[in-house]
Parts: sequence; C-alpha cells; structure tokens
Amino acid sequence: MSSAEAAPELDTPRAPAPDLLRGVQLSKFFVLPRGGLKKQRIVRAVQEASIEIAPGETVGLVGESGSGKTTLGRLLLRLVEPTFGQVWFDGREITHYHERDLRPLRRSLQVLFQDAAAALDDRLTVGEIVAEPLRIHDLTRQRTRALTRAKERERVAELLRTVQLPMELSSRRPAELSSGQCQRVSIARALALGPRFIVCDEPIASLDAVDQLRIVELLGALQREHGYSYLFISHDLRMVLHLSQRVLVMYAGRVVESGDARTLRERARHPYTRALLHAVPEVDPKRRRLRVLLEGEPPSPFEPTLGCPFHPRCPRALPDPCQREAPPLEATAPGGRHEVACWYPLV
Amino acid sequence: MPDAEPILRVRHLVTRFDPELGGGPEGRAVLNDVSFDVPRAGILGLLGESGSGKSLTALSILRLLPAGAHSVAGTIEFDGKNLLELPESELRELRGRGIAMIFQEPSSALSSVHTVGQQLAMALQASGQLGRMSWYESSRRASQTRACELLARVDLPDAKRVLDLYPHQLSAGMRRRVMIALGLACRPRLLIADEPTTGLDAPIQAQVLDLLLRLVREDGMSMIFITHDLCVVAEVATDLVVLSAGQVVEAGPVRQVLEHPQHAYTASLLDNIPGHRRKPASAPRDASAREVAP
Repeated sequence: MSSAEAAPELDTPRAPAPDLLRGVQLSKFFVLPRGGLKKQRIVRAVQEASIEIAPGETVGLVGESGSGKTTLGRLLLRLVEPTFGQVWFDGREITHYHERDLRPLRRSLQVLFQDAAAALDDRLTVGEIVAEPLRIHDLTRQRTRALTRAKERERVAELLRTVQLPMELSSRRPAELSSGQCQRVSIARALALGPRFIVCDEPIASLDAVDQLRIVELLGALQREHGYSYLFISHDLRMVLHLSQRVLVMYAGRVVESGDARTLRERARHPYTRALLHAVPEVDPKRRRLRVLLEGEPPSPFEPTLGCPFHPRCPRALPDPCQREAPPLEATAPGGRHEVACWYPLV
Repeated sequence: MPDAEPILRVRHLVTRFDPELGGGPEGRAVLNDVSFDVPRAGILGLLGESGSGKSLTALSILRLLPAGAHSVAGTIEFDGKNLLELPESELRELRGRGIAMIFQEPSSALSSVHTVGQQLAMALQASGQLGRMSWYESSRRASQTRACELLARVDLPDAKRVLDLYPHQLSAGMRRRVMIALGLACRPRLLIADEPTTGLDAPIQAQVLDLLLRLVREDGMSMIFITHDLCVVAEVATDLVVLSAGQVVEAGPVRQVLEHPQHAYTASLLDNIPGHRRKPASAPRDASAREVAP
C-alpha cells in the first residue's frame, strides 16, 4: 500500500478539534403496530452507532438501502427520538431537549433530502420556499411590513445568487424546475438560516452525472467559505470517499467500519467495505479484475441475524464466533481512528 | 467476432412531438438524425443525460412512443425489414419475440395486482408458448414449468415461492430480476434494457450486470443497454453511442470512445468520475501511432 500519492490535507493529523455534533451509542427501534393477523414487529433501524463530526468537516455515511443511514442522520437532527443513546451539539447534550428548546438550534441544523422535488412544497414559488424559514424564525423583521418584505426579497436574491440560480426563477414553482435546480433551491432554503451542520441525505442520487458534480462542487465551495460541517449520506462509496474526510460504513443498522477516507480506500479491513469498493463499476478494465461478487441481499430488518449481521454473505465467515456473536467495533490499532467490527478482519 | 451484418440498423431517425405540444410549427424534435448499428451478439451502450432521448430511441424502435410523438423520418431496419413501415400486426409478432424490452421502473412496469407467476404467464401466453389458454388458466401450469425455469435463470432462489408473490413483496433487486425474466420470456433476439440497474445499491447492481451479461452470452442475444452511468456502460458494452439533446454526439467501440473521447460532453463525463484520470493523450492520436514498432 503506497502512501506516496499527494493528498496532504488528509494525511496531516489534525488536533482533536472539539466536536460540533456527536452521537453516542445511538439506537433506534421502530415498533410496527400489529395489524390484522400480523404480529407486532420491531425494526432495529440503528444499533449502537457512534459518530463525531468536527466543525468544517465532512463525514461520509455509506451503506445499502435499509442499512439505517437516513435514520442515523435524523437521530442527529433530533427528527426522530433515539431509543437509546445521546446526541450532543456544541458541547451540550440535546437528547432530551423539548421542541421549544430545540427551535433555536434548528437554525444550525439543516438537511438536504434525496428527492429535492418532493421536499419542496409544490404550491409555493421558489421565492416563498426560500423565504419560509426566514419568516418562521423571524429573521427579516423590520419596523413595517413593507420593509420586512423588501428585506426578505433582498435576502432571497442573495441566497439564490449563492446557489447560482437566476433571480427570474423566484416566481416559478418546483414543477417547472429541473431536478438539479430543485436541489439548488433546497440548498438555498437550508442556507437561509445560517446553519453550522447540514445532513446531506443522498443529495445527488437522483441527478445526472453532470448535475451531480456541479452540486458537489457547490457544496464544497460553500463549506470552504462558511465552514459548514456535513454528514454526507450516500450509497455511492466512490463519491463518499472522494468528498469526505472520514467515512462510516453501515450494514444492517450497525457501523461496521469507520476511518479516514484514505485509509478506507487503501486499507479497508471489513469484508463488506472491500466488497462495496469492488462492486463499484469501473471505467478502467484493469481495476475490475479484483472483483468478488457479493452474493445474496442484505438481511430483512424484521428478522435480525444472529451473530455478525454480515455473516450470511461473508466469504470469510466461520461458524464460531461469526454465527454466534456480533463483533464489537474496535480500533485496529490502540488509539487509532480506524475502527472495524469483524472477528476476522482482512489485512 | 461480430457478424458484418448488424442485427439492427437505425438511419437518420427523426422523432417529433406534435406541434400542439409546443416547439414551433414542426413540433419539438426529440430525436434528430439519429443513426447507429447494433452489432450481432454485441452490446450497444446508449449513454446520455435524462432528456437526451435514450428512452425515446428505444420506444421509437418498438413503435411504443407516447401519445403525440411520432417518428417522422429515417429507417429502422431489423432483419431487413423497416420497422417504421411494418403493419401493426407484424410488429406485434415481433415485439417480445424479435425485440423485447426491460422497462426502466419495475414499480410502474410491473402490475401490482397480479402475482409474479400470473405476469409471467401472460407474457408466455402472449408469445403463444402455452397454446390456447387464458392467462389465469395457464398461470397454474406455466408456474410449474416454464415460469420456474425463467425465474431460476435470473438467479431468483426459491422460484416456486416467488411465483405466488406480488411485486411489493419483493426487494428492489428481485423486482429487477423479475423484469429481466419477463423480457426473456419470449426468447428475443434483441433485448433493450432501459436503465436496468439504476437505483440499485452497488453490490446488487454488480449482481444484475453480471446476470445480464451471462444471459446475453448464453443465448447469443444482442442488447441495447440504456444508461446515464458511464462506468456501467464501460463495464458491459462493446460499442457506445452517446446521445445529447436528441443527437448522436459520439459513436464507436467502447474502449476507443472512452480512451479518446472526441466530444466535450463525453470528456466531461469522464472527468467527472471521482478518482478517474483520463490519459492526456487524447489530442495527438496520430503521433502516438508511430511509436509502436521497434
């Protein structure tokens, strides 16, 4: 494994910055009500996931659909209540904050959804959508109503400029926009309140390749300018490794590996992370030779797997202990930031 | 060794929407002078952004265009017949058996009120493989044999159980496999797959691509593979056509196009792949040819 390639910003060890946002051993179980002849069922969406995000940092979260990525993002935003665990923001534990106390924090915690068109109210114009958070949080209040409206318009124009949308669009409605433009509108809305942390939940999954890169560039430029922290959720491991400083890999509700993006790219130790890396389609045929196809599908969230959740698909699984006990997430080296949950990690 | 004679030859295809739907007196042209060949036993990748005309090309070939759209010029030759001039009855014979399509979105292309077994039975019956039986009559018997075979071919485990399930009871990956099984039901010679792996997670996508490649090879089928994902097309296709705004902007063997893209759109797609470095030697192509012989 050569480390000769120049990527200095990833290599230099950062001083342990105080975390902006921290999730500690977060779990979320959903109880599906019994209906008709069906028994009550429990979905373990997230189990004992811990995550730290420093100011100005991008942390990537990858996993297949149903692995709990979105739920973990929502737990951090306090949009769903954790079953167990804690959420810390800016040095304060906010796990049990009431909605009233959360309100001021909501300005700092924003989210971009996967399907931007669906996340925008299609009866409002773009201008109204971007102005709505300003009104709710009363940020543009002036002495008179007319002055307030003028101030609001000014701020909306500024936000649309930031996301590189022409001002003419402010009177249009979401249905008239392309999916890339819709995502820009939802970015403008997220920026309206001057956030510090943005959960980007698959923000580019439904966009074309060219739009994808433009949105990614925009998010990067905004981060450099304003120091936002991002949690970048995606099923596209290549994109996540490209964008993030640190990456967490989730499988069946658990974090199975975490570490610096570069470490995961070059020295992933969990068989699942390796399989994800190899499953990505490659333009270069030479890189395809390593591919090992992962068989089967992820486990159903209703029927928790006994033992390691990955063992039914794992090429390395042994009856003992893989089928009996779930491996803990442990650092690969004492004090290191690379953690893996596997009884027999790859070397 | 691809045969010299392509299985499908599209020449100067123009497809327009009716003028009532906007776009001036002639109507909006969604495909403009599109020409390409699908090599026999080859896989043609059709690459482009959404709205570039990929799916409309496929629908033009099968003459399944939405209301208001018409192919107004050009030829589409399959087996020496121009599909654009074929009577509807002959075209019906051809659909499914000659050319089959795997539609993009399983959730809308599959019926949500019929079981997988019933849907397969309908396809088999429409192709005349079950004799004169109504689909509900035939679904029982078909489910025992041919439908099970089809599901087994697309690597669906436990085929007998899957036959009695409805699409919503399947995972996304399984629904794609059912779509593929439906496409294969009539043993087509040309398979058109419209974004068959879009929206799947990478490991499942790799499985489905692997499956498609194997099936095409086993049956000696030809395929048109429609996608917006350059990396996917690089994995599967032998030849590549790049569409942009209804026009072919680039065409050729896939390796050649990807190594020496001539069009800015293709080059920008290549540059947009994280971690991919395009060889800078795209311009002086002639100069490098001399260095080969010692």
